[in-house]
Amino acid sequence: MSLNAKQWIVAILALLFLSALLIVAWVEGGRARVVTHPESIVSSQNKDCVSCHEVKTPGIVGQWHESKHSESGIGCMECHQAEEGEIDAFNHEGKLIATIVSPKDCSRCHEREFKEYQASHHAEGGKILGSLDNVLAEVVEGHVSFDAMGNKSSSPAAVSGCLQCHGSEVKVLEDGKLDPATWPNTGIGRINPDGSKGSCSACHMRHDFDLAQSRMPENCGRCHLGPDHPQLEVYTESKHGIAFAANRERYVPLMSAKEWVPGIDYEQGPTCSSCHMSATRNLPVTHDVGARISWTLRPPVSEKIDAAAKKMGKDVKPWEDRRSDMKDVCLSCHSPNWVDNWYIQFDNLVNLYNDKFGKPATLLYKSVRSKGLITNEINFDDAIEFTYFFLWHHEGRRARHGAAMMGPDYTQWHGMFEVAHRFYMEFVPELKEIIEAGVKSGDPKLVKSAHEVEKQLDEVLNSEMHRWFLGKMDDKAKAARDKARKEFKKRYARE
Amino acid sequence: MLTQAWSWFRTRVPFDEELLRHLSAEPVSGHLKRWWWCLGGTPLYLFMLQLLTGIILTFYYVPNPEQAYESVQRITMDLPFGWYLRSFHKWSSNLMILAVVLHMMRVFFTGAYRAPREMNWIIGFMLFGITLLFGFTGYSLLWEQLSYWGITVAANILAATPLIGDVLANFLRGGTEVNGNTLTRFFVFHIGVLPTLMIALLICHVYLIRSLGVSQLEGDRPSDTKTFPFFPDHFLTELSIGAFLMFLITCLALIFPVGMGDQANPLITPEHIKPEWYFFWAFRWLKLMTDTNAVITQGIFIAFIMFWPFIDGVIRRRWKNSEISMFIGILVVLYLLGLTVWETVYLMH
Amino acid sequence: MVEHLNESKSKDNMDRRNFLSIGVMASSLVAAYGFFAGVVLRFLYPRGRNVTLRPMFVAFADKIPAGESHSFSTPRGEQVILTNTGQLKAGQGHSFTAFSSRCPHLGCKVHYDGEGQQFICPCHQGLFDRKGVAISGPPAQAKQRLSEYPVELNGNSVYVLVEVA
Repeated sequence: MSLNAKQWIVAILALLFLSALLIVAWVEGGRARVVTHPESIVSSQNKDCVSCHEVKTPGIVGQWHESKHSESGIGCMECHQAEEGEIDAFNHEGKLIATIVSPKDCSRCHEREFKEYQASHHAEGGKILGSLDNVLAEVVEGHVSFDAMGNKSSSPAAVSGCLQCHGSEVKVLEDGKLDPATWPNTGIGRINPDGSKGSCSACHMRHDFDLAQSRMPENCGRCHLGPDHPQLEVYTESKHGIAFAANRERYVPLMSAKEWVPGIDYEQGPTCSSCHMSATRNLPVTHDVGARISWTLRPPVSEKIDAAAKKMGKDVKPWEDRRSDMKDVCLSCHSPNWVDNWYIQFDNLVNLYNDKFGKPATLLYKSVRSKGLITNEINFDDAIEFTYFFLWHHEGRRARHGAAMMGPDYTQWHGMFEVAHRFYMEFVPELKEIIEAGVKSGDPKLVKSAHEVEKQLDEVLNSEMHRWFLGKMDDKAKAARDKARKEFKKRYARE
Repeated sequence: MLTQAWSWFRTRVPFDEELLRHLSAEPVSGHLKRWWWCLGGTPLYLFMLQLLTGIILTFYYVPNPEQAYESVQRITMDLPFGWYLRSFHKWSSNLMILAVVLHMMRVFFTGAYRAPREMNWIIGFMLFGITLLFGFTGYSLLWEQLSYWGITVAANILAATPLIGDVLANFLRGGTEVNGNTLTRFFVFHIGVLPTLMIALLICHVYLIRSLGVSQLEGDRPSDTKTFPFFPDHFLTELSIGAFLMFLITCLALIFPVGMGDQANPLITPEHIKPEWYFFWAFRWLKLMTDTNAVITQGIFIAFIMFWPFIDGVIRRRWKNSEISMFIGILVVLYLLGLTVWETVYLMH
Repeated sequence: MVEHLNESKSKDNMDRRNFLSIGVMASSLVAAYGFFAGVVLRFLYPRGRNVTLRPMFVAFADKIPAGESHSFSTPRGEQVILTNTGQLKAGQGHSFTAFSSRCPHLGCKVHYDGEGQQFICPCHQGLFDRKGVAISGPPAQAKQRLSEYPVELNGNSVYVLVEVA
């Protein structure tokens, strides 16, 4: 090969090398410099925690790295540090910490949310400890015992069931550890060692505290679901839920942002927090979940949410104001006529339930109990107690929630239909049995009581809404129904 | 002006210009035009590239267990062109080992190891050993799972050597455990001891080549018997090889950039520990017998290859004009290749 | 030993045709290896000042009473001293300052004297006022000041804007 040829070959190879280098430079330039989220800042007091825990409990540290806290250097010690003298403080690798980070701890930075939360009904979740539900968990389903000092053991049904949502009363044992009957628990009304109520991480899951996660329907749905208050199911059935499901993929990446205002950041598909908590164009965000609720759908007979407080002479936000706040959310997407008409529909269903079933059933139930026709001191040992409980606590609530959140199937088939069935096919017959047993008892007091209850039952069944049951529907109504049936057949029946 | 500067320089740095011209213009044997014969210069050039890129990488590499992995990550992901320079270094090392192996094969099959060049063969073989150790120590510096456990396994194998096994293993590890001490001494080996040995032996190697002259080929091409000048002819060949290697390595770095495995975790042994490809032969060999047997047989094997010129001398005296050496060579190549392929395929399941 | 044969073309070294091929070869080699050298230098040269400042939580305001200070280090390892001067900063709505605790004279660590409301460097008695301006000692002679970091107060939380690596 001639020198000339060789020189050209060298030149070509060098140029090939150069081209390859240019591609290298191009690749380098195009390397993703976009940071998905900024690098965490590990401040000096958290370095030890992170270096050990990223090996021992990498999930926790990984979650923290995903959080907004880590972007600002807010880490382990800022939340877990404890003061000398706190009942749940303990020494961990030379640092004084507490396992539980209570709402009071969070309030060091999140004061407004803390105040709103403590004032809300969520924080009262621990109230269940004295309720009828508690009797179910501790006596009927489970069992508790009392030791010499009067300390009560716990019912696993309560510990793993009710209290996981409602919140336990966290106990610190003598050795500084947390009582397993009370912890782990992130119930919404948890009673913390420092006296504050609740747990922020019930909704804001640690340690990434992602805003998008807290806005998801599944978040509230951990507790707000089931046969006795199927809010998640009702929502999923509703148009709101459908709209969200259809647009979810598009929304989720945006929902981690601080602002998620209906009408501005999104145009349809609200989630639980949208209506009950989040900011609108006019309202700020609130952690008082009752601030926009007008009815309480919880009790056997629904009443306006401020009724009980007003009776006690407490000054609370009037239900009218709460409703108008809720309407403000609706008006982000719906017209005023739409909203007002809907509220009329909602009120009507609640009143129907109250008037036809809630009030009469409660009257009759209280009557048989107070008059001694069934055991008054023992709960849930008579069939009618369960029947009544199901009526208002389960299907009665389902019907009301179905109406409240636009889930027609829950209003009707899981709701009013089952309420009616329960009432007519179980409650009334059981009442009649009790009455008969009372009459046949031979005890003059019981016989008298039985007749009184019988009279009450008669009154109820003969009332306008119930007398169809006795075949006493009035003639005008009968004729109207007949006419409607014939029209129906004409329109839909085959020739 | 220039001549003044030149004479100023010459008074202070005396050398024989005539000798220099003679040395650089020395005629190169004709058969060196063949590409097969460039396999000696290739690893030399690659070694110089490794020195350069290695020094560059050492600007950012941190040789302690807590920071080693992170520093390599930083080089690979954060620093500009870090990924390229690291991949360059890795691919260049692979090519260097391959080139040395091919060079050894060329030397073997052209009988260039025969008297009076036996010593050069031994030196060359030692250079090969150093090259492999470069690979091993270099890879260990990443402090990945495979680094940590590779060292552990290697030390255990060494420990199986009769009599001095434990001493060797402890020397390798810098103690009885694989820890920060181990990483430090591997670092020192990689950037200090091995380069020094390599350069020293390279000087001997090249000196012997130049002083003994390149062995004459009993070739059948007419050009084989002629010579051609080193400069500019052979120099241009070297230039083109250099440019080609730069191009090839850059392409490899672009198409197969080097990544990272899991960080070293003394508490978890990965399911499949394997060394680099150039140790597959030894690894598979080890699996065929006990550690001690493997160490002994491999030791014998290595000694066999290292002192081959003398064995070959005995063979040729005994069986004149036979091609036994060729066949032994082919067998050894096939054997090592077979073990390597076996180990490669085994891991694919 | 071996015959020395001159290749005919080697006499052409100085030919113009050869000159072209040498020229092209030389320049492409220089370009290619030069680019490679550039790549290496870019790798070795420390990052340009692509500064991103981010707020970093440092302390709770109520834990630092007026006249007291709190030392901390930034993600890049800079030592900073956060001080509650007790006097509201104009337009800031809080009384906190954050200065590098590294004395600009020879790098010793300064500390805050609450009574005298100044920063003191123990090495050569450099003094800096509340605003970090040197008022006495070698740093004052060189008209130096402590580097300042922006401070934000969010409720009870004090954030300092720092460079993140």
